[in-house]
Amino acid sequence: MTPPQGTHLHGTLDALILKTLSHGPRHGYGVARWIEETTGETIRVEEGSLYPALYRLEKQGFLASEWGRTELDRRAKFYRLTEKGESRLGRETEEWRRFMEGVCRVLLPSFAAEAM
Amino acid sequence: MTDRRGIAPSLLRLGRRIRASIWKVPVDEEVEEELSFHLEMRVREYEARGADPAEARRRAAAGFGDMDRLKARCGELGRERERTRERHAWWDELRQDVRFGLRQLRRSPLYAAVAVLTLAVGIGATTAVFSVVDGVLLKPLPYEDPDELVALWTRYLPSSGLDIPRFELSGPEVLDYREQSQAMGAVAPYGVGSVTLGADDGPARIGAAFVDHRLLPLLGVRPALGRVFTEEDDLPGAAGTAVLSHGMWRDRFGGDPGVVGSTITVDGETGRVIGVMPDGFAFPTAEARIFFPLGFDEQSPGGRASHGLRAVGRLAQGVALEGARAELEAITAVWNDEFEHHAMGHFIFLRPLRDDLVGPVRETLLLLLAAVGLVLLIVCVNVANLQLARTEWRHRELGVRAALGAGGGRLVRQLLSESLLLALLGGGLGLALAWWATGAVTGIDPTAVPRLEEVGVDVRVVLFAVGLAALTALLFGAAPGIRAGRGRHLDALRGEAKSSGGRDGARFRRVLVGVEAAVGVVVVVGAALVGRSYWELSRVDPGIDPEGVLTSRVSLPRADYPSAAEVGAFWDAFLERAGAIPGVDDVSVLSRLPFAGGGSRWDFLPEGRPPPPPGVPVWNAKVTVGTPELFPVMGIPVRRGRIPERTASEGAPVVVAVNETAARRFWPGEDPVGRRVTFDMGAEDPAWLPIVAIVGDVRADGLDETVPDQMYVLPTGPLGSRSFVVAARTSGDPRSLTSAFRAVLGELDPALPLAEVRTLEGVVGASVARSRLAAILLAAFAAVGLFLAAIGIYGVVAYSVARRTREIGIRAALGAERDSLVRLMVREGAIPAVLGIVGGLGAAFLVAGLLRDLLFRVDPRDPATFLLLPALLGGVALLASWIPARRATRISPTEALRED
Repeated sequence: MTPPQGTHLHGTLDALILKTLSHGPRHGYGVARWIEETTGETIRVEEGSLYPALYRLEKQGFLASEWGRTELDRRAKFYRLTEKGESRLGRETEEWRRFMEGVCRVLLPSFAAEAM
Repeated sequence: MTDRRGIAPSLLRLGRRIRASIWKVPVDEEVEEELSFHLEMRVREYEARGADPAEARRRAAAGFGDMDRLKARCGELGRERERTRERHAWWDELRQDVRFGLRQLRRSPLYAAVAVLTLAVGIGATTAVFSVVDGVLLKPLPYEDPDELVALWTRYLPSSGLDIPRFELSGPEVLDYREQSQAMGAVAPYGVGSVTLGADDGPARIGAAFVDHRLLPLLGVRPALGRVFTEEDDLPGAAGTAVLSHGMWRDRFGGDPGVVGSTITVDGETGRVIGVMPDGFAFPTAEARIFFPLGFDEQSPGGRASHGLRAVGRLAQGVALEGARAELEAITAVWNDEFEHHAMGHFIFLRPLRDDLVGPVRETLLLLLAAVGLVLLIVCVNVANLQLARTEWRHRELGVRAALGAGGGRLVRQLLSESLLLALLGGGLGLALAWWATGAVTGIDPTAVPRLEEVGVDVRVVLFAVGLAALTALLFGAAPGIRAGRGRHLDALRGEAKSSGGRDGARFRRVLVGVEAAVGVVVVVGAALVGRSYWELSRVDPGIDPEGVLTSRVSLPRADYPSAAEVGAFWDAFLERAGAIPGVDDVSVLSRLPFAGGGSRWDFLPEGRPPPPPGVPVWNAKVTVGTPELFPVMGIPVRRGRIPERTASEGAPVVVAVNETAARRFWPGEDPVGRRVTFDMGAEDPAWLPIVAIVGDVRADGLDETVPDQMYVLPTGPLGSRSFVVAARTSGDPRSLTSAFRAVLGELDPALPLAEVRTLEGVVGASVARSRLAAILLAAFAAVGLFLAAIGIYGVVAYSVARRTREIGIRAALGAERDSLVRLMVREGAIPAVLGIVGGLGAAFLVAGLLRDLLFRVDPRDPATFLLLPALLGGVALLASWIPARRATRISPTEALRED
């Protein structure tokens, strides 16, 4: 994913990760694939950004990790959302919505008028 | 990983933690495994989309970017995460421990209350004494680089025949020291006294210091307002200037910043306030509330032999006290050759300024600190005993915790945090207690202890209290904690016989009892010795009859009473009117009261003896000038001769009376009555005064000092001195006549204050105030220590008896005599106590030697004390053991057997 310039560099990826995990625990690869599939391959998650984000979010207490087994019985590290992470997700989502609103009003006034 | 509650998740977590701590997987290995898994999956994904293996691998790797850097970055983050996690876990555990501790304490409120209260008393008393020690001994003096400051005094070698520990310097000596010494960077003379300060709300007598203009800069303290004296202010004849102390400025001038430049009336003359010293500054003591220039005239510094100046000096850079001492003594030695009158062995001595001020009190204060520290030790032992008992009682609970995985370290920490909680609670309460006690102490007569105004509960004292609380927690918490950590509690779970654990604990507690008894003996013996010393002191005959005598001081300013005639007329009128006050039996005036400290020594010459070399004090005595009535007023008996009465006529003779000691010393084998002496040394036509009587000795320098040679100069006609102590013997309470005296004084001159109103009893009492305070405090500490030790013994015996109830029942059922059972139980408490007492006696014997300097007429190894007290303490220990033992044997055997 080409990171957008500006203030939401980390924030967007963090929000995507948190939202992904809100659907249930996954390992790192699972998170990447889910995002890619859900966005129809429009957004491609680079591992070089994903893992630092995962580790950082865990350090901050929004995620928790433990080692488990995949369906193919391979050992992998699974991440899940904590309570703290849930509230964070809510905040991030709200911030993103406002950001999007603002941009929409500038770029696509008609679309904005319809959607809001 | 800590957000779920409930028992199952916590057990799971516990399991995981145990496993994790056993197989510690380094973060880097985890990162490696995680990333390679992801890489694998990506490769498979691309292959599934049709790429060949090499292509797939290339594309997959591209997504990771610089793999090594990524791994490093994740490794870092991972380690930070671990650290944060550990920190949180640690805090969580601590919070748990504290909550647990609080719950435990709430469950046994009696135990908690007893522990907290005894800790509060122990910590509070120690903190209070420490705050005094800190303020008086430890805090540096309020000057710049106070360790460089020294006090200069004269001392007389024993060969001079004079027994004076320290004496002032003379003007020429000060000048010479200043000029000739390299070791002293600066020397400044000063004097102390009191002045009458006039004001609208009435005149008052204020303590004052007269300082050379170099002195305040020498001390290195800048004024808070205005300036200090300059060389011009110090010249004789300069306009009157004054510097106020901070307290004086606050109290009498309302803290008004405009005070600089205002005029004040001092001894009837006007002067200008030029500055105010900062808060916390005092020189030489807090008694000096106003500073004046000394007016030391360097052109005519006075006679070399006339010693009336005190001096302070600052050591030059890098010079040690010893070096300065050696140099000044060498200078003085040269004088012994140059100036004849020095030949009598008259030397300089230097003392660090701090020792000068607080020296006399140091030992007493340290003794008090040691005593209170010992009492605190007894307190800790008691609380440790309490804790140990409770630990045994909580056997089962601790066993469960151990089984659930709480390691030895965790258990120790839990118990220690409980101890710390107790100690902090006790410490907080103790600090409040100390704050109250310190306030009470500083309210006492401040002259009993120097620098008392510096005593208060400040940051250092609070830190001391907190540190003390932590230390006591360690002391009394360590024992049960260590025992808990040794994992004996698993035995408890299995229901093992309690006696095995009990025996160990009981032995430890017996040791503690022994320690308590030993410490108690030391404290009680010390207190008894000091108490007896004070008792001996108070029984000494002072030589006067202090009951029913009112004293005060009246001073006439030169400006209002310039001529001798006016002075004489004033005293005549005053004495007549004062004598007429109803309730007054006799009234007199005298230059100085005995037991009030100070007093001047005069050289004299008996008629018929060759005059000594000038300045050599061959005949020298402490002189009091006063009216003849002073003997009946003070209750000093006349041994020989007759004291003439006072007449008001001009030309009435001045006579002299000597005390028995002086008579024996200066006229051995002769009768001094009828002979004559003169005080006009070296004059052409000296005035010879007749000795009319020998009077009784008065211990004027203090009850514990030797009797000085005393002479009384008694003008029977008009009086010439401007300042006298008024002493009146009254029937009834002397204080009730204070207002009458004030009225009489006011009638004669409303501008004169009646100062320093005290009873003679009070004056004598004040001279032993320090001894009395020490004795009272030590007695209080000893009583508390003894009480606590007795409780400790009682507790130990009661507890062990409770645990052996079953055994007692069996023995009783088997027909054991009640008495032998009691004896068995008593041995439990009494034997360790007796052993402790013996040990304590030994320690006290060794330590008693240190008290020698503090004791008066009491041998530190006094056999009576050392035999009686242990017997007394042994009796207390026996009683404390006997009571619970007796109660236990009252239980019926069947009840006892049912106990488990």
